[in-house]
Amino acid sequence: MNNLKHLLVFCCLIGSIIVQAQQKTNSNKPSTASLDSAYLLHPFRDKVQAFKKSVKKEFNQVFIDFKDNKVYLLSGIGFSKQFINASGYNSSFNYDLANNKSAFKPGYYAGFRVDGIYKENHLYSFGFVLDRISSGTDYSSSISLQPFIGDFSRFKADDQFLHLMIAAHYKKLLPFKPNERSKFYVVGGPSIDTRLSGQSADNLVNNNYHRFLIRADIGLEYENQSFYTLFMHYKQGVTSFTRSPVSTYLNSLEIGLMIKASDLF
Amino acid sequence: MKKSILIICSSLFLLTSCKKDTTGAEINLAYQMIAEKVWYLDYSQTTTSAGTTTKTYLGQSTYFVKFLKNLSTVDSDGLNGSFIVEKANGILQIHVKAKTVGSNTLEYIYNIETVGANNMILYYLSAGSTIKFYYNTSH
Repeated sequence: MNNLKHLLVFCCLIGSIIVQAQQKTNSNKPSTASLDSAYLLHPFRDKVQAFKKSVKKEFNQVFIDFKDNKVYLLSGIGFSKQFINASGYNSSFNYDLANNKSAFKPGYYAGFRVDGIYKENHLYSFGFVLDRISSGTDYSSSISLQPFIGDFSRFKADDQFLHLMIAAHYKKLLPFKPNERSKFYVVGGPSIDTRLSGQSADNLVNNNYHRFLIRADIGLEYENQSFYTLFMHYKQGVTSFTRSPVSTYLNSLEIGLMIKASDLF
Repeated sequence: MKKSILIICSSLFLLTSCKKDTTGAEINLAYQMIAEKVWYLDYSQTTTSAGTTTKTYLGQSTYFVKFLKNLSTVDSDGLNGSFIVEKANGILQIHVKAKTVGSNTLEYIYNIETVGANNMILYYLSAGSTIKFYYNTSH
């Protein structure tokens, strides 16, 4: 056992010596490539630097009252369902509704969120999330193909999507406080979903799905002394996801976890 | 900065303003629905000015037609040939060119009223009446 301890201590000492040796070499001798680079022109890098500077300047001017910004990483599971009314839609295709699953189906998402304070009084957040949606479908209208038995639809909703979601929330701290560690917030705001995935062959026929979708988001968040935040949001479709005459509202219940990016990196 | 905004706006406009030709997609989907299946005739329906008559073939030995991926077709009457799906005057059609058992050439076109994974309704017009055929993949 003692031998093992000695071996471990020895390994640690050797490791630290190696690390020091590497650091010294790096700090003392700049590479030839970096020396050359200092004397060369970099038009692309200069342009990028100028663009960054200009964006930062504009950002600071526009968002002068947005302070105390903290970046959080978030991830979770989302249960989604589409509520569809396809009455008046015509196509040469029919889809049997006998096997349709009218349930909220689970998908997942990940992204980041910037939380801060506006004019030192109003809490807000801006979120950027990649959302893999798996959706159930609820058809409120159907057609009959008598004498065939059963209910049919001329429209078939897609059930898999990849979205880029941009959301803005207003946060309000709730007075409910079970202990010193816990904080509860109620949040609400709009979100814009951009569909990144393509449409199925069934919907390419009439190019049924919109690229953008606006949803309203309301939720409850529980923050545990800045270590992590658990949240639950409900998203209600505000605009139809499909073109007229089909109206499709995509609703989701999202449950997730959020942690400060600085705690991880 | 203005230049960047202009580029972003133009890209968004191009991304959202494209109008796609969907006829090809419609025909491709029809092929996917029809091909590699045996379609059994369940009902036939004749509609005239006097009314509608429906005949049922359920539970009986009935007519069937097979459409294959390689665009060939064969039916229970011994017709053997090729088929294509096309769109004319806004209507999807199945165009069949076949030969009878006695090697006589036969060509016919059916309009598609609706087609699904398991159900298909074809029709044609003849002397003021509409004749519909109801096909199913299970029999």
